[in-house]
Amino acid sequence: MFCKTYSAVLHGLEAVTVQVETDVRNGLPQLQMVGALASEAKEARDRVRIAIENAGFRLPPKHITVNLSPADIRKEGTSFDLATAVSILAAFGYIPEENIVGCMFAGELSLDGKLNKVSGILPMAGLAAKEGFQKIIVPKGNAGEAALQKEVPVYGMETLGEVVSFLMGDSSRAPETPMSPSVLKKLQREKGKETEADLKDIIGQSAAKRALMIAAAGGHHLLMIGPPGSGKTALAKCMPSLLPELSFEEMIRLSTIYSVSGKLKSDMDYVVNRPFQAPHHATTQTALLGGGRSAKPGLVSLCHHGVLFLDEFTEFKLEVLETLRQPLEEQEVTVSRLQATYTYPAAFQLVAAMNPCPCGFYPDRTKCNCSTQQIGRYTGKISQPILDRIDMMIEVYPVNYDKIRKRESSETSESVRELVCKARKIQEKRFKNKNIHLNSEMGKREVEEFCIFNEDAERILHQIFEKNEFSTRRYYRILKLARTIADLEGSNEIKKHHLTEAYSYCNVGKKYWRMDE
Amino acid sequence: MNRNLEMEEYWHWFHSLTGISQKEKEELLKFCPDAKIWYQAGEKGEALELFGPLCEEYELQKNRRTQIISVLEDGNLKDAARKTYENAKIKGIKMVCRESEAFPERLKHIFLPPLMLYYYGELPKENIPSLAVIGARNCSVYGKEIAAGFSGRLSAAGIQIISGMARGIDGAAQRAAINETGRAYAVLGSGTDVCYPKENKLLYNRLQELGGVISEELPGTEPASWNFPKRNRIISGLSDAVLVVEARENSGSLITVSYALEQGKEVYAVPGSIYEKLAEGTNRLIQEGAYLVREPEDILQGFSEKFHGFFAENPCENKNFEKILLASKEKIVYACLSLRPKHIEELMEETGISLQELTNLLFDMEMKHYIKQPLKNYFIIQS
Repeated sequence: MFCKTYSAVLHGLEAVTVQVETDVRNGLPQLQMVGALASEAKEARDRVRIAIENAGFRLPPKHITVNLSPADIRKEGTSFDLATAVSILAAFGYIPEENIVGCMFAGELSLDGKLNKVSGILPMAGLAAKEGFQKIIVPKGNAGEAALQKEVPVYGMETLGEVVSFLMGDSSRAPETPMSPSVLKKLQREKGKETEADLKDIIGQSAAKRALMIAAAGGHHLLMIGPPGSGKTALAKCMPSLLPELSFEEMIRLSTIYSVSGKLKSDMDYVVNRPFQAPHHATTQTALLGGGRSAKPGLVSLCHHGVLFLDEFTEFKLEVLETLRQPLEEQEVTVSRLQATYTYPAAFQLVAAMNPCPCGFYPDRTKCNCSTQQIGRYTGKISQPILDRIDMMIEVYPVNYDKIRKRESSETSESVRELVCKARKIQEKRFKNKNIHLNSEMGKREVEEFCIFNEDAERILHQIFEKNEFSTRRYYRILKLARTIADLEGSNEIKKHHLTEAYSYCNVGKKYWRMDE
Repeated sequence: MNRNLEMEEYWHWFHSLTGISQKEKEELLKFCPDAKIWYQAGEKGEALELFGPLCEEYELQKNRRTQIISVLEDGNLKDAARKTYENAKIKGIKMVCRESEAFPERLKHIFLPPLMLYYYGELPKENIPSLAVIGARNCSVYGKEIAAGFSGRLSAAGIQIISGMARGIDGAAQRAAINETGRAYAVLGSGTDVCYPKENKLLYNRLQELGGVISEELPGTEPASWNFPKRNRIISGLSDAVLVVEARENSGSLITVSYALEQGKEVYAVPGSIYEKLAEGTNRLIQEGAYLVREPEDILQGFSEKFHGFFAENPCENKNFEKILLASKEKIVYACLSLRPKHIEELMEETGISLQELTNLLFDMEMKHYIKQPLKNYFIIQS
């Protein structure tokens, strides 16, 4: 007797169809599984057999061979359990073969026959839609996630028994209803309010807040420098709330990444808000970029469309920071391992924070006694290529007591977000026919084309040039920043005050403390 | 073998004898004040005779004396000294010994004057008033601005500025002076051909060219901590007065001050807040009787008695900052600024002007040279 079912295996962020073929014949009674299986997939042999028996089906003493094909892709994970069980049951005739045609299965089995959640369901469901499957059967806990693709009906089941009775023609089950966009939008709002920090809770810091807004509007990476306790972390945490809300496509993309990494929490079937990742400074290259034996996405991909906050920027290992060059430049990251090479998206907004010197209080010499050498060495830890990719650099100034007492009301994230969205719309229109979206992504040609400035501004540029603080790189950086500031104001032309403000944010790189004057 | 060498070479040899301490060298010079005679006696093996009739009274023990004599008579050391002497000449290092006419008059009268001075450029001029400007290495922006402002203006008035080319105050003072007139001299704690600290290389080169870089140490000596207190006596010795800009309690600058007092030089100090660590040293000096200095004119006045008529031809030019032509908003901003660096956020709070406008104003003022940006987005008035 022979029967086959379908499941899927993850290959990076994509899923690939896997056929689970079962052959039953006379011979020594045993269950054998072949087809480039990783150890956890091999262990399915025992899980599946016991689960089937505990679900109330008896397996006659026959020689059973299960083959997972294509045999040249390494099968990892436990999501083949269900397909294997159904395939065996069908081969023994418990389920008519015609009932499982056009069905995709994914799920892990417990010994008692229950179905457990697995990671990577979203791309698998996407694959089912693409390949023209008629239904997909998944564990109950994964049903909401799988239903995000709206084409193939999704059935969430709790036990193997349920699956069998459904396949035998139990028509009382309805497919999982996909969440409507309006409900999703509402959920997004609520979730956002709950989890995202709000600008209005931060006292003072009006200059830093404005800088955050500009960074959010133009997608400029930002470096904050300031003494300990000045609010750098609190400010950074507000960043996701300033960025426009995720669109549906972005949500799917992000949820896919989270699904593949097994990061979708039990109460949350999909990612609705912009992620915020703040890795500890002792983090490794693998954790940040992705990798491991099976080349899983790293933190930079988990904060795709979101914010990557690197606190204590100077404390990160040099080689870890250097690896950020590729994602910063290309908005994606390529991870190569023995098995395969995967490319994960990594378009994040970088917010970095550091102290100005080892003790943290320079230039306040009443508190700081660091030597110029020490300070130079400290700031010098960040390499020039990394600094070159960060457009903005601001100093965060500690809030004084009066301000804390007064608690002046400040702008809310909501209102700032509106301005940001407006500025982003202008950019979208501007770059309609280009393959970029934000001012920060402009190259030299785009800067020349879109950064039109008036005579007054021209004079300023000339003056900055004469101050001998000028390089081609800074020229373009100032113009890009000024473009964003002008966009926030809705001005088509870059004016003088846009430029002077941009000048004050401009990353001056290693010359930060002007040690060489 | 009886060759005649240049006077400097004899002294260079004498100076380079590491087997004899500075104190013992002074003792030897009491018996016979010329290095040349010691050199020649050493060559002939007659050094013992130079001790002469005083020999028995010589307080050192007999075996130490034999050691000293063996060092004096060692031909290898003489060859080595010749080599280093010639190397120094090739490098363009100028040398002057204690007995030479060119030896600075001011140094002749201090306790333990250096046996030799090695220098690039030139030595401070005798008839021109000179001032040592010294202070903390890890100084504040305020201190740096004061050091630079004072040195620049005093240098313009004709005074030569002497300092140690260290980080912080020293370097700032010399940089300002060299930019103003080029009359700046550095006394190093390393060999004169060794630039320490390295980041002052540019200043070092300019000092070589325009002013002078002086050291007592043998060329090629690496900077060692014990050389620095010793060189401070030369800094104060070459000067007519010492100005301390910022010093913590127990600062190395205070060593220079004690040398200066020993040598009978005036001490000026710039006061600071009593809560300021960087002013603890200077405030104490003032408490103990140093002149309190508020502006460069205070120092000029002190100098005018000693150098009568000197400043008549070199009037100290005082830029008048009261009559600045600024727009009214700029005036508000300017009024909030001092020599203490203020961050743009602080200015925003104090003036109530929006960030966009403020950056605009500050930019204009900076371009007009009324204010400066010593650190990114921190502002001070330009003195």
